[in-house]
Amino acid sequence: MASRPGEPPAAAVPAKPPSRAAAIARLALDAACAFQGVLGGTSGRGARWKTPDRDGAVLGAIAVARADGRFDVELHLIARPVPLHPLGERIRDRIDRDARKAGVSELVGPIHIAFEDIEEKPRSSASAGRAS
Amino acid sequence: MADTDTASSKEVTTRGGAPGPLQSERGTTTIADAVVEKVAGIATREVAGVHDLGGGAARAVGAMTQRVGIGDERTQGVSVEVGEREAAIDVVVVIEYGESIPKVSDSIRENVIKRLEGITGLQAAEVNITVNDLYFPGDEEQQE
Repeated sequence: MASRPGEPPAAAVPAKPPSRAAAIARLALDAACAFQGVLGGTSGRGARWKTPDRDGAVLGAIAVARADGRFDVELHLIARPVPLHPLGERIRDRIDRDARKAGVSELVGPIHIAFEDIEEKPRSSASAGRAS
Repeated sequence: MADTDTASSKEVTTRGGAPGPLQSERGTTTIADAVVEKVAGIATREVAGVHDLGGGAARAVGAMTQRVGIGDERTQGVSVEVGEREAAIDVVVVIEYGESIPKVSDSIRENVIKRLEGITGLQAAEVNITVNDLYFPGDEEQQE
């Protein structure tokens, strides 16, 4: 749609930012997927493990607001066959670090990590991205 | 032709299909049953003398589902009960003719316990092995 004289062009209108829940879910999933031991997040049967967002859902990550203002974070991951508990701890460290960098560390509550499956290589249902 | 060999008969604290949590101050880590099944299946196949996993029907169905891309041979013939800290594992195997069944069974048990503890951190309360059949080289040619 062409803009009228005096009005900013349509492309210059800033897009709405993601919801806080989606932003935290995205931050946590990206932090997890930075590890070689993690192949991606999985939304599970019936796509129940996801956080809705304006641009599509964050698959395999759920962020739920708590009464204290923080968000419970839940990650559902497909991993490589590596020691999973140490990997879980490293993922938590990385999420904490990335949250501090992004200035949202006070919003991140407990981080629950579920390893739902293991694979040697990525499969189509494992996704670090948004729902298509 | 089935021979069941049981390591121990410890009780496993089950959790009714839900993942068993490993609590920490910063959250819980859970391992799904599918992960334990796959680790046990892979560990069993690594042992020399193991030809295949599963009973006759499981192998036939498995071959068909794998052909259409919905099956996973790594969990065929494996069933698990997973508790909070330990798991009980049942595997059904076909062993190559000429191998010692007790030796192959011991090796399976050892490898499953090692892999399970290494990857999931769970203790194997018991590893029950059922030798369902023997494989004779040339069996497949005769079937064709």
